[in-house]
Amino acid sequence: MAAGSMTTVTDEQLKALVDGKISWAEAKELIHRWPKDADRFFRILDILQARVLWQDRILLRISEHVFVVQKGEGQRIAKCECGYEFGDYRRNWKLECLIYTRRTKAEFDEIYKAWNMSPRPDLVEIREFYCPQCATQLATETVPAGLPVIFEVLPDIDGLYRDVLHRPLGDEDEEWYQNRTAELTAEWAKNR
Amino acid sequence: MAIGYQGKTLKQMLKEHERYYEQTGRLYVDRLALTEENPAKMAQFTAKLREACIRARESAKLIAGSPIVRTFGECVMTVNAPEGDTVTSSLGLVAQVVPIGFQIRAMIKNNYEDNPGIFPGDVFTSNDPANCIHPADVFTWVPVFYKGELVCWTLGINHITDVGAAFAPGSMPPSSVSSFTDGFITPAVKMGHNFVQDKWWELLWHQNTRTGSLNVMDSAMRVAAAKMIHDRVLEIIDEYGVDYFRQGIREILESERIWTVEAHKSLLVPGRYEEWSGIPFFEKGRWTEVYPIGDRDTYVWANLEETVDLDGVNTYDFEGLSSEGSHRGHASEAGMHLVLGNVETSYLTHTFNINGAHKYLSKFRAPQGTVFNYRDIHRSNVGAYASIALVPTSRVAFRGQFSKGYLEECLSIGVSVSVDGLEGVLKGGVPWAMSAFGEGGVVAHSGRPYMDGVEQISCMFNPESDSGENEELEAFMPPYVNIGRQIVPDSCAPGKFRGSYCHGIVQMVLDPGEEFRLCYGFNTGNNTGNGGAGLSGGYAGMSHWCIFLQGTNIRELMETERDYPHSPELIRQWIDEGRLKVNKISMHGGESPTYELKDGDIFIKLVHSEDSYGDPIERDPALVVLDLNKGWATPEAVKEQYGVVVEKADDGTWKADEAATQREREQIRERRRRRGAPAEDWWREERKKILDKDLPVMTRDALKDLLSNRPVYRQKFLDAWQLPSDFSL
Repeated sequence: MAAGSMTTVTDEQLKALVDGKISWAEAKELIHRWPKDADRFFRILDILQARVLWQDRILLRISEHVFVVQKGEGQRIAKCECGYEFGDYRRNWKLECLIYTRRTKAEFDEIYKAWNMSPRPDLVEIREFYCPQCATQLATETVPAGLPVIFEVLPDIDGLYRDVLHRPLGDEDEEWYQNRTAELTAEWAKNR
Repeated sequence: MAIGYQGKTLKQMLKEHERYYEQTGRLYVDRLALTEENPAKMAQFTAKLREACIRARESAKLIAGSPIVRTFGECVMTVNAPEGDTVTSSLGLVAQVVPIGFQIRAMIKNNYEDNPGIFPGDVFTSNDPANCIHPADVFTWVPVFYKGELVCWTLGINHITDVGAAFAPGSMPPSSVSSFTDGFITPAVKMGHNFVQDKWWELLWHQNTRTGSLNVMDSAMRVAAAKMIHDRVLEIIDEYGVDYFRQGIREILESERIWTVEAHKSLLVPGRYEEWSGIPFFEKGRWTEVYPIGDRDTYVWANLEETVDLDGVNTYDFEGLSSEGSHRGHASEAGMHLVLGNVETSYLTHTFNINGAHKYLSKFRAPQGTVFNYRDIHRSNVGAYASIALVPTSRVAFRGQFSKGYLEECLSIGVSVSVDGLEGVLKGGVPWAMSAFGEGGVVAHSGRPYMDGVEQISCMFNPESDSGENEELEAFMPPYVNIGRQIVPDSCAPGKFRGSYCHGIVQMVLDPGEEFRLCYGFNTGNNTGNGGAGLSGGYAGMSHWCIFLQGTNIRELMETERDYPHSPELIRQWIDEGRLKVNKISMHGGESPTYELKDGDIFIKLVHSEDSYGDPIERDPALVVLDLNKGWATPEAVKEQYGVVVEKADDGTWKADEAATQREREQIRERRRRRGAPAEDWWREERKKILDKDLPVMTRDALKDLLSNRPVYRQKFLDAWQLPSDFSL
């Protein structure tokens, strides 16, 4: 087993880490720590919570700008850092974005610039998922046409808080760990 | 004759072990009695076993002739429990720690104890992909007996130079349709006695592969390594006693299992994660007459659903996986565990004692009849295409650690190993062949939440490798010389933290003699990039590309101008200027067919790059300028990719125009708002295409296979697009 560093992880280090400004030397120190600092999860959440301009409690960050937050009584939603609300996090939040699909070589070459090295358009398309409010590119997919949008993560939030973090949430329910994306597409199908 | 503990057979011991794990979830022991009693003694014991493996590797590898082993270090030496699990290993090809267990258990389950029998001094070897990832990796092991009891195995494993494949040279040739064309494959065979390999074994390598001498020396290396560790283990038993040894190696495994559980629970957010990966095999037109059933293009898909559960078990479910077929893209369960083991050892279970215990916490599922669980035992495994699972599984590890807050751990790596296969006949009729492994040790890394991707940094499956020395390889490939290497400008996936750049290598054919053939092999991102979901708005990395320039005047240029273009960019420039003349240019996104090359022909490898992280228009302009001033990016590219507007400063260096950049980025956002379709509209349009069967041919065929043969995936697909239950393509 690896011996870890016993020095404290400072707030400054974590802020630099979240900001993407940490030095490689300090990042390596964090990488070499074992056991990991057990309070990291909530310290990172505190940093993120202090930065967002809205009040909902962040339960989990699932992407650079996308959070699962507690929205009032009995609601947990996916939310963009800008404040845009994607809705129930059990439905793939990417299906609440603006979606742009690159399909041609010319469109691929706007991203991949060197030596014709972009993928073949008959094998994959490149989907870009934008927040409808701030137009940040929140996700991409390089996948064959027709592939269902990838649901990157359905987190077991209750399990995380109860069994790993030992701070159970007050509204635990096994329903929170159910993929509800098919309900969304079923609603769309009804709207035809 | 039973050779196990207390007169048990190995088969009985294996069954007991499997039953115990099933009933208790523990490996071999219910408590770590020796470790609890004296942890320092156990740590020393473990270190001595490990040291034996490391020392054996460092000295035995010099017996080999192949640079793949001698300098790259693509080998590993281990100690394994009688039941097969790897207790400890050297540095090197640590990806093999789980497949070794499969090799040994196959031997046990096939009753080798009775026939041919297992005795002191016996040497066994196998490269059967049923128990590993591909024939290029050859396993040699010896039993360690103490007073008539088999107490462990010791092994040497390495990647060889040529597998004897029918249609292309090298260790991972990109042309095969079944195991019959994969090359020389053997299940476990007793090929040595008294720790010396038999003569007939050496003759087999000469007969069945192109690099007989190198493969024979590799075999001698593996035997020597196993023997060195064997002897050291007996010394350790003398020091600690056999009872301590027997219990100790099992406590090591159980403690490593506990460690792995802790690591998973500590590092990852539990949940269900999805990803996709795929690879096309372009074979149509190659096999028309000799193997019509293999004469087709196939697009293999791997839809991954990974569950990280609260017990520390990761389940990798490949329900949406393509069917097996007459192409080279298969992997056994052992091969899959090699890939999953890569994720473990590289991302999660950081331990100084690399071992095979994590296998028990990586549950792998693939339906029967698929490329990772094939029924026909003669499917081709010549590549290592289980590795298409590596990018998706590493992205899941990335996301799990990201959400847990351990951003420093986030990293995504593919395993596009750049491996050329070469062969020829020199003047005078002297044949030669080689597998050019030079770029195998320089796999690139993705962008991370706090830094750019890194080029040419390490080797996922062999983290302690040295980058293969191309100049040393030249001695084994006389007509094939390196004439340049350079980072390829603009060759990255753009992001807030960009992916790594590709590096370009230029090689030239020089006085080949009578014949020279080359193919570019093993690329998991053939023409698709590293497909799947990107990282927080970043893009997928880029796969290898290769370029053949045939019929050039470079030899004349070298004579007359005393100069030559020594990078891909210079080659392009010299062609544009008319200085370098080329009769034919062929470019391949990944693997290539085998080319007959002549004197003065040029081969360029553009070695892969990895994923970027985050929205490109969030990239710090200072980082963009840094790349520009290194000559790694161009102003036109950075404006389009990042919205960064630059200008030349008085000293001639580039600097960012902050105000213009802000305006440009706002325009990019406006463009996104205009061109991005509301998701429901997008969904309807895509759904209509599917209903109209308006999909590219290879995609349609891949999907048709899944919809016809994978009922669980079919239902998910129908639900996602709300298609009628009788939908078909």
